Amino acid sequence: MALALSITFDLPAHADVDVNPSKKRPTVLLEGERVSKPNAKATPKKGVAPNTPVANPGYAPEPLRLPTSTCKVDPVNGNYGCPQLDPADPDDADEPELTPGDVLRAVKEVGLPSLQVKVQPGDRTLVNVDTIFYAEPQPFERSVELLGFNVDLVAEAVSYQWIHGDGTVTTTDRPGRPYPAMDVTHRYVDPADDIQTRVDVTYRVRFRVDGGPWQTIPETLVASGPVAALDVKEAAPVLAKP
Amino acid sequence: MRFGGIVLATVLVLGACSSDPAPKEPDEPVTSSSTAPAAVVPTMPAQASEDSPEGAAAFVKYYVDVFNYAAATGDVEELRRLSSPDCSGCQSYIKLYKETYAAGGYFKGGDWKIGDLEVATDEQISYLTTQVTVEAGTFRETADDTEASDAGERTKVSFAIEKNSGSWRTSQLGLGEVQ
Repeated sequence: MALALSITFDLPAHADVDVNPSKKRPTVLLEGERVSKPNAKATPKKGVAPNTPVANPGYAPEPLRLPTSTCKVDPVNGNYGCPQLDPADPDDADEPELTPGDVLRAVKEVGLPSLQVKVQPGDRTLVNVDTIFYAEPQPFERSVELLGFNVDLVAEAVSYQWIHGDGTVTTTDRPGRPYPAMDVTHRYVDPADDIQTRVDVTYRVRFRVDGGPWQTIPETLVASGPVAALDVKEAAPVLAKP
Repeated sequence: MRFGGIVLATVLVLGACSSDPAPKEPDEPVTSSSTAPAAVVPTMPAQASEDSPEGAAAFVKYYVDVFNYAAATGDVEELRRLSSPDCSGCQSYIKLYKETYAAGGYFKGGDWKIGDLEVATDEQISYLTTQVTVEAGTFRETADDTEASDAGERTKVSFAIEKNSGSWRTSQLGLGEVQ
Protein backbone atom coordinates (compact mmCIF):
# COMPACT_ATOMS: atom_id res chain seq x y z
CA MET A 1 0.00 0.00 0.00
CA ALA A 2 1.27 3.36 -0.89
CA LEU A 3 0.24 6.46 0.88
CA ALA A 4 0.67 9.76 -0.79
CA LEU A 5 0.70 12.79 1.39
CA SER A 6 0.66 16.16 -0.22
CA ILE A 7 0.64 19.48 1.49
CA THR A 8 -0.26 22.50 -0.59
CA PHE A 9 -0.09 26.13 0.27
CA ASP A 10 -1.94 29.06 -1.28
CA LEU A 11 0.16 30.92 -3.78
CA PRO A 12 0.15 34.69 -3.41
CA ALA A 13 -0.97 36.47 -6.60
CA HIS A 14 1.87 37.17 -9.04
CA ALA A 15 0.24 39.66 -11.41
CA ASP A 16 3.52 40.85 -12.86
CA VAL A 17 4.76 37.40 -13.86
CA ASP A 18 2.33 36.78 -16.71
CA VAL A 19 3.68 38.97 -19.54
CA ASN A 20 7.26 40.16 -19.55
CA PRO A 21 9.00 41.35 -22.69
CA SER A 22 11.81 38.87 -23.06
CA LYS A 23 15.32 39.99 -24.01
CA LYS A 24 14.95 37.56 -26.89
CA ARG A 25 12.36 39.76 -28.63
CA PRO A 26 13.86 41.20 -31.82
CA THR A 27 12.46 44.65 -31.07
CA VAL A 28 14.39 44.49 -27.79
CA LEU A 29 17.64 42.78 -28.73
CA LEU A 30 17.93 44.29 -32.23
CA GLU A 31 16.85 47.79 -31.22
CA GLY A 32 18.81 50.22 -33.37
CA GLU A 33 20.18 47.47 -35.64
CA ARG A 34 19.57 48.17 -39.31
CA VAL A 35 20.66 46.36 -42.46
CA SER A 36 22.13 48.79 -44.98
CA LYS A 37 23.51 48.68 -48.50
CA PRO A 38 26.90 50.27 -49.20
CA ASN A 39 25.80 53.37 -51.20
CA ALA A 40 23.17 54.34 -48.69
CA LYS A 41 25.90 54.98 -46.15
CA ALA A 42 27.28 57.90 -48.20
CA THR A 43 25.67 60.89 -46.54
CA PRO A 44 26.84 64.50 -46.96
CA LYS A 45 28.97 65.83 -44.15
CA LYS A 46 27.45 68.50 -41.92
CA GLY A 47 27.99 72.05 -43.12
CA VAL A 48 27.90 71.20 -46.83
CA ALA A 49 25.02 72.93 -48.65
CA PRO A 50 22.64 70.44 -50.29
CA ASN A 51 23.30 71.77 -53.79
CA THR A 52 27.07 71.75 -53.54
CA PRO A 53 28.50 69.16 -55.90
CA VAL A 54 30.51 66.64 -53.96
CA ALA A 55 34.00 65.95 -55.23
CA ASN A 56 33.98 62.29 -54.23
CA PRO A 57 32.97 60.33 -57.35
CA GLY A 58 31.81 57.45 -55.23
CA TYR A 59 29.12 59.53 -53.56
CA ALA A 60 25.65 58.40 -54.49
CA PRO A 61 22.99 60.68 -53.00
CA GLU A 62 20.23 58.19 -53.61
CA PRO A 63 19.95 54.79 -52.00
CA LEU A 64 21.02 51.99 -54.31
CA ARG A 65 17.96 50.59 -56.04
CA LEU A 66 18.11 46.91 -56.83
CA PRO A 67 15.63 44.70 -58.68
CA THR A 68 13.65 42.81 -56.06
CA SER A 69 11.91 39.44 -56.20
CA THR A 70 9.35 38.07 -53.80
CA CYS A 71 10.31 34.51 -52.86
CA LYS A 72 7.67 32.08 -51.66
CA VAL A 73 7.80 28.47 -50.61
CA ASP A 74 6.31 26.05 -53.10
CA PRO A 75 3.89 23.98 -51.00
CA VAL A 76 4.48 20.92 -53.22
CA ASN A 77 8.22 20.47 -52.97
CA GLY A 78 9.09 22.84 -50.11
CA ASN A 79 11.57 24.76 -52.26
CA TYR A 80 11.63 28.50 -52.74
CA GLY A 81 10.47 30.05 -56.01
CA CYS A 82 11.20 33.66 -56.95
CA PRO A 83 9.53 35.23 -60.00
CA GLN A 84 11.76 36.26 -62.93
CA LEU A 85 12.38 39.95 -63.37
CA ASP A 86 13.90 41.38 -66.53
CA PRO A 87 17.51 41.93 -65.43
CA ALA A 88 18.17 44.41 -68.23
CA ASP A 89 16.02 47.20 -66.86
CA PRO A 90 14.24 46.63 -63.56
CA ASP A 91 12.19 49.80 -63.98
CA ASP A 92 10.50 48.30 -67.02
CA ALA A 93 9.16 45.36 -65.10
CA ASP A 94 5.85 47.06 -64.42
CA GLU A 95 5.35 48.71 -67.82
CA PRO A 96 3.11 47.06 -70.44
CA GLU A 97 4.98 45.88 -73.49
CA LEU A 98 2.16 46.88 -75.86
CA THR A 99 1.35 50.59 -75.73
CA PRO A 100 -1.78 52.39 -76.97
CA GLY A 101 0.57 54.04 -79.50
CA ASP A 102 1.39 50.62 -80.96
CA VAL A 103 -2.31 49.84 -81.27
CA LEU A 104 -3.04 53.21 -82.86
CA ARG A 105 -0.40 52.62 -85.53
CA ALA A 106 -1.86 49.21 -86.24
CA VAL A 107 -5.39 50.60 -86.55
CA LYS A 108 -4.16 53.21 -89.04
CA GLU A 109 -2.64 50.43 -91.09
CA VAL A 110 -5.81 48.36 -91.01
CA GLY A 111 -7.83 51.46 -91.86
CA LEU A 112 -11.11 52.56 -90.35
CA PRO A 113 -14.22 52.61 -92.54
CA SER A 114 -14.77 55.78 -94.51
CA LEU A 115 -18.39 56.52 -95.37
CA GLN A 116 -19.93 57.63 -98.61
CA VAL A 117 -21.88 60.84 -98.06
CA LYS A 118 -25.45 60.72 -99.31
CA VAL A 119 -27.11 63.92 -100.47
CA GLN A 120 -30.77 64.44 -101.24
CA PRO A 121 -31.78 65.56 -103.74
CA GLY A 122 -28.73 63.78 -105.22
CA ASP A 123 -26.63 65.08 -108.17
CA ARG A 124 -28.57 68.31 -108.35
CA THR A 125 -30.08 70.55 -105.71
CA LEU A 126 -31.34 74.12 -105.42
CA VAL A 127 -30.25 77.21 -103.61
CA ASN A 128 -32.14 78.08 -100.44
CA VAL A 129 -33.59 74.60 -100.15
CA ASP A 130 -32.89 72.22 -97.29
CA THR A 131 -30.50 69.76 -98.82
CA ILE A 132 -30.33 66.54 -96.80
CA PHE A 133 -27.05 64.87 -95.84
CA TYR A 134 -26.68 61.45 -94.32
CA ALA A 135 -24.37 58.41 -94.17
CA GLU A 136 -24.71 54.72 -93.42
CA PRO A 137 -22.33 53.83 -90.56
CA GLN A 138 -20.34 50.62 -90.70
CA PRO A 139 -19.45 48.78 -87.50
CA PHE A 140 -15.76 48.08 -86.98
CA GLU A 141 -14.62 45.06 -84.94
CA ARG A 142 -11.34 43.37 -85.66
CA SER A 143 -8.88 41.01 -84.04
CA VAL A 144 -5.24 41.43 -84.93
CA GLU A 145 -1.92 40.11 -83.68
CA LEU A 146 0.55 42.74 -82.51
CA LEU A 147 4.01 42.00 -81.11
CA GLY A 148 2.81 38.52 -80.23
CA PHE A 149 -0.31 39.71 -78.42
CA ASN A 150 -3.90 39.02 -79.51
CA VAL A 151 -5.55 42.41 -79.72
CA ASP A 152 -9.30 42.93 -80.15
CA LEU A 153 -10.29 46.27 -81.66
CA VAL A 154 -13.61 48.11 -81.67
CA ALA A 155 -14.12 51.52 -83.28
CA GLU A 156 -17.11 53.74 -82.60
CA ALA A 157 -17.99 56.81 -84.62
CA VAL A 158 -18.18 59.74 -82.24
CA SER A 159 -18.67 62.63 -84.69
CA TYR A 160 -19.39 63.35 -88.32
CA GLN A 161 -18.08 66.34 -90.17
CA TRP A 162 -20.14 67.15 -93.27
CA ILE A 163 -18.13 69.04 -95.87
CA HIS A 164 -20.75 70.77 -98.00
CA GLY A 165 -18.38 71.80 -100.74
CA ASP A 166 -19.20 75.51 -100.55
CA GLY A 167 -16.67 76.22 -97.82
CA THR A 168 -19.04 75.45 -94.99
CA VAL A 169 -18.93 72.51 -92.60
CA THR A 170 -21.48 71.02 -90.21
CA THR A 171 -20.51 68.75 -87.34
CA THR A 172 -22.94 66.29 -85.80
CA ASP A 173 -22.73 63.26 -83.55
CA ARG A 174 -25.34 61.37 -85.59
CA PRO A 175 -25.06 59.99 -89.12
CA GLY A 176 -28.33 61.50 -90.25
CA ARG A 177 -31.21 59.80 -92.02
CA PRO A 178 -32.66 59.90 -95.53
CA TYR A 179 -35.76 61.86 -96.63
CA PRO A 180 -38.38 62.38 -95.20
CA ALA A 181 -36.22 62.84 -92.06
CA MET A 182 -34.51 66.21 -91.90
CA ASP A 183 -31.74 65.34 -89.45
CA VAL A 184 -28.74 66.97 -91.13
CA THR A 185 -29.54 69.66 -93.66
CA HIS A 186 -27.76 72.51 -95.42
CA ARG A 187 -28.99 75.43 -97.54
CA TYR A 188 -26.79 76.50 -100.42
CA VAL A 189 -26.69 80.25 -101.06
CA ASP A 190 -24.98 80.41 -104.43
CA PRO A 191 -25.35 78.20 -107.49
CA ALA A 192 -22.30 76.15 -108.47
CA ASP A 193 -21.45 73.17 -110.56
CA ASP A 194 -19.72 70.02 -109.46
CA ILE A 195 -19.13 70.98 -105.85
CA GLN A 196 -17.33 68.37 -103.82
CA THR A 197 -19.21 67.06 -100.81
CA ARG A 198 -18.02 64.41 -98.41
CA VAL A 199 -18.29 63.27 -94.78
CA ASP A 200 -15.30 62.77 -92.44
CA VAL A 201 -15.94 60.38 -89.57
CA THR A 202 -14.12 60.65 -86.25
CA TYR A 203 -13.68 57.32 -84.47
CA ARG A 204 -12.77 56.42 -80.93
CA VAL A 205 -10.95 53.10 -80.72
CA ARG A 206 -11.08 50.66 -77.82
CA PHE A 207 -8.84 47.65 -77.53
CA ARG A 208 -8.04 44.77 -75.24
CA VAL A 209 -4.89 42.68 -75.05
CA ASP A 210 -5.11 38.91 -74.68
CA GLY A 211 -8.68 39.13 -73.39
CA GLY A 212 -7.76 41.64 -70.69
CA PRO A 213 -9.75 44.74 -69.72
CA TRP A 214 -10.90 47.13 -72.47
CA GLN A 215 -8.79 50.26 -72.84
CA THR A 216 -9.56 53.38 -74.85
CA ILE A 217 -6.94 55.04 -77.04
CA PRO A 218 -6.94 58.73 -76.12
CA GLU A 219 -6.34 59.93 -79.68
CA THR A 220 -9.23 59.73 -82.09
CA LEU A 221 -8.86 58.79 -85.74
CA VAL A 222 -10.54 60.45 -88.72
CA ALA A 223 -11.59 58.60 -91.87
CA SER A 224 -12.26 60.89 -94.81
CA GLY A 225 -15.03 59.71 -97.08
CA PRO A 226 -15.16 59.64 -100.89
CA VAL A 227 -16.52 62.70 -102.65
CA ALA A 228 -20.07 63.05 -103.96
CA ALA A 229 -20.27 65.73 -106.62
CA LEU A 230 -23.27 68.03 -106.61
CA ASP A 231 -24.70 70.77 -108.85
CA VAL A 232 -26.50 73.64 -107.14
CA LYS A 233 -29.06 75.37 -109.37
CA GLU A 234 -31.24 78.41 -109.10
CA ALA A 235 -34.38 77.29 -110.86
CA ALA A 236 -36.73 74.96 -109.07
CA PRO A 237 -36.52 71.53 -110.64
CA VAL A 238 -39.63 69.57 -111.33
CA LEU A 239 -39.53 66.74 -108.87
CA ALA A 240 -41.19 64.06 -110.91
CA LYS A 241 -40.28 60.62 -111.96
CA PRO A 242 -38.64 60.57 -115.41
CA MET B 1 2.09 27.87 8.54
CA ARG B 2 2.99 29.25 5.15
CA PHE B 3 5.99 27.97 3.30
CA GLY B 4 5.98 30.54 0.43
CA GLY B 5 3.96 28.56 -2.07
CA ILE B 6 5.84 25.33 -2.18
CA VAL B 7 3.90 22.23 -2.93
CA LEU B 8 5.14 19.45 -0.73
CA ALA B 9 4.29 15.96 -1.75
CA THR B 10 5.36 13.09 0.41
CA VAL B 11 4.89 9.60 -0.76
CA LEU B 12 5.11 6.84 1.85
CA VAL B 13 5.29 3.29 0.68
CA LEU B 14 4.41 0.94 3.49
CA GLY B 15 5.81 -2.47 2.67
CA ALA B 16 3.77 -5.32 1.26
CA CYS B 17 0.35 -4.91 2.85
CA SER B 18 -1.50 -7.03 0.37
CA SER B 19 -1.41 -10.86 0.65
CA ASP B 20 -0.45 -11.47 -2.93
CA PRO B 21 2.56 -9.55 -3.97
CA ALA B 22 1.73 -8.30 -7.46
CA PRO B 23 4.29 -9.34 -10.03
CA LYS B 24 6.50 -6.40 -10.74
CA GLU B 25 5.95 -4.96 -14.15
CA PRO B 26 9.08 -3.84 -15.92
CA ASP B 27 9.50 -0.10 -15.63
CA GLU B 28 7.83 1.63 -18.55
CA PRO B 29 9.84 4.48 -19.91
CA VAL B 30 8.15 7.72 -18.90
CA THR B 31 7.64 10.01 -21.89
CA SER B 32 7.55 13.56 -20.65
CA SER B 33 5.12 15.68 -22.63
CA SER B 34 7.41 18.58 -23.40
CA THR B 35 6.34 21.52 -25.56
CA ALA B 36 9.31 20.97 -27.88
CA PRO B 37 10.51 17.50 -28.91
CA ALA B 38 14.15 16.71 -28.18
CA ALA B 39 15.83 19.26 -30.44
CA VAL B 40 18.27 18.19 -33.13
CA VAL B 41 20.35 20.70 -35.10
CA PRO B 42 18.66 21.17 -38.53
CA THR B 43 20.49 20.11 -41.71
CA MET B 44 21.01 22.58 -44.53
CA PRO B 45 18.76 21.90 -47.54
CA ALA B 46 20.51 21.71 -50.92
CA GLN B 47 18.72 24.80 -52.21
CA ALA B 48 20.31 26.89 -49.43
CA SER B 49 23.72 26.55 -51.08
CA GLU B 50 22.54 27.90 -54.45
CA ASP B 51 23.85 31.19 -55.75
CA SER B 52 20.48 32.63 -56.73
CA PRO B 53 17.53 34.50 -55.17
CA GLU B 54 16.00 31.09 -54.44
CA GLY B 55 19.20 29.98 -52.76
CA ALA B 56 19.38 33.17 -50.71
CA ALA B 57 15.77 32.71 -49.55
CA ALA B 58 16.37 29.06 -48.69
CA PHE B 59 19.50 30.01 -46.72
CA VAL B 60 17.65 32.59 -44.62
CA LYS B 61 14.91 30.04 -43.90
CA TYR B 62 17.60 27.60 -42.79
CA TYR B 63 19.31 30.30 -40.72
CA VAL B 64 16.05 30.96 -38.86
CA ASP B 65 15.58 27.21 -38.23
CA VAL B 66 19.07 27.06 -36.71
CA PHE B 67 18.33 30.26 -34.80
CA ASN B 68 15.21 28.68 -33.26
CA TYR B 69 17.17 25.53 -32.45
CA ALA B 70 19.86 27.58 -30.65
CA ALA B 71 17.16 29.40 -28.66
CA ALA B 72 15.63 26.10 -27.57
CA THR B 73 18.89 24.39 -26.62
CA GLY B 74 21.67 26.89 -26.02
CA ASP B 75 23.72 25.06 -28.67
CA VAL B 76 25.03 27.99 -30.72
CA GLU B 77 27.72 26.15 -32.69
CA GLU B 78 25.88 25.98 -36.03
CA LEU B 79 24.39 29.46 -35.58
CA ARG B 80 27.90 30.78 -35.05
CA ARG B 81 29.15 29.00 -38.18
CA LEU B 82 26.43 30.64 -40.26
CA SER B 83 27.02 34.15 -38.87
CA SER B 84 29.80 36.58 -39.68
CA PRO B 85 31.77 37.75 -36.64
CA ASP B 86 31.01 41.30 -37.85
CA CYS B 87 27.25 40.71 -37.78
CA SER B 88 26.38 42.55 -34.57
CA GLY B 89 22.73 41.49 -34.62
CA CYS B 90 23.71 37.83 -35.05
CA GLN B 91 26.34 38.04 -32.29
CA SER B 92 23.83 39.61 -29.86
CA TYR B 93 21.63 36.54 -30.16
CA ILE B 94 24.50 34.06 -30.03
CA LYS B 95 25.68 35.72 -26.81
CA LEU B 96 22.16 35.79 -25.33
CA TYR B 97 21.51 32.11 -25.97
CA LYS B 98 24.93 30.94 -24.80
CA GLU B 99 24.88 32.99 -21.61
CA THR B 100 21.25 32.22 -20.69
CA TYR B 101 21.74 28.47 -20.84
CA ALA B 102 25.14 28.69 -19.14
CA ALA B 103 23.39 30.45 -16.24
CA GLY B 104 20.77 27.70 -16.02
CA GLY B 105 18.10 29.64 -17.87
CA TYR B 106 16.13 28.65 -20.97
CA PHE B 107 13.77 29.71 -23.73
CA LYS B 108 10.70 27.69 -24.59
CA GLY B 109 8.51 28.51 -27.56
CA GLY B 110 9.11 31.99 -28.94
CA ASP B 111 10.04 30.56 -32.36
CA TRP B 112 10.50 32.92 -35.26
CA LYS B 113 8.15 32.19 -38.17
CA ILE B 114 9.03 34.00 -41.38
CA GLY B 115 6.75 35.07 -44.23
CA ASP B 116 7.56 35.54 -47.91
CA LEU B 117 11.00 37.02 -48.52
CA GLU B 118 11.73 40.13 -50.58
CA VAL B 119 15.13 39.45 -52.14
CA ALA B 120 17.50 41.88 -53.84
CA THR B 121 21.02 41.01 -54.96
CA ASP B 122 24.01 43.31 -55.47
CA GLU B 123 27.05 41.42 -56.71
CA GLN B 124 28.07 39.09 -53.90
CA ILE B 125 25.56 40.29 -51.29
CA SER B 126 21.88 39.44 -51.06
CA TYR B 127 19.46 41.54 -49.03
CA LEU B 128 16.29 39.93 -47.74
CA THR B 129 13.34 41.32 -45.82
CA THR B 130 10.47 39.39 -44.30
CA GLN B 131 7.70 39.70 -41.74
CA VAL B 132 8.68 37.73 -38.64
CA THR B 133 6.05 36.42 -36.24
CA VAL B 134 7.60 35.63 -32.88
CA GLU B 135 5.44 33.03 -31.17
CA ALA B 136 4.45 33.23 -27.55
CA GLY B 137 6.69 31.40 -25.15
CA THR B 138 8.21 31.22 -21.71
CA PHE B 139 11.71 31.89 -20.50
CA ARG B 140 13.94 32.05 -17.46
CA GLU B 141 17.08 34.12 -17.43
CA THR B 142 19.04 32.17 -14.83
CA ALA B 143 18.53 29.10 -12.63
CA ASP B 144 17.43 31.35 -9.78
CA ASP B 145 14.82 33.33 -11.72
CA THR B 146 11.15 32.45 -11.93
CA GLU B 147 9.71 31.51 -15.25
CA ALA B 148 8.06 34.33 -17.18
CA SER B 149 5.88 34.37 -20.29
CA ASP B 150 6.23 36.46 -23.39
CA ALA B 151 3.25 37.04 -25.67
CA GLY B 152 5.40 37.23 -28.79
CA GLU B 153 5.29 39.94 -31.44
CA ARG B 154 5.35 40.72 -35.17
CA THR B 155 8.00 42.82 -36.84
CA LYS B 156 9.84 43.20 -40.14
CA VAL B 157 13.35 41.88 -40.07
CA SER B 158 16.06 42.20 -42.71
CA PHE B 159 19.11 40.09 -43.45
CA ALA B 160 22.20 40.67 -45.53
CA ILE B 161 23.98 37.47 -46.55
CA GLU B 162 27.32 37.07 -48.31
CA LYS B 163 29.18 34.24 -49.94
CA ASN B 164 32.09 33.17 -47.77
CA SER B 165 34.29 30.34 -49.05
CA GLY B 166 31.51 29.23 -51.36
CA SER B 167 28.68 29.20 -48.83
CA TRP B 168 26.25 31.81 -47.57
CA ARG B 169 26.82 33.54 -44.26
CA THR B 170 24.68 36.15 -42.53
CA SER B 171 26.57 39.43 -42.40
CA GLN B 172 23.82 41.73 -41.14
CA LEU B 173 20.66 41.26 -39.11
CA GLY B 174 18.40 44.17 -38.30
CA LEU B 175 14.88 45.48 -37.85
CA GLY B 176 12.67 46.94 -40.58
CA GLU B 177 13.49 47.41 -44.25
CA VAL B 178 16.94 47.47 -45.83
CA GLN B 179 18.27 51.02 -45.87
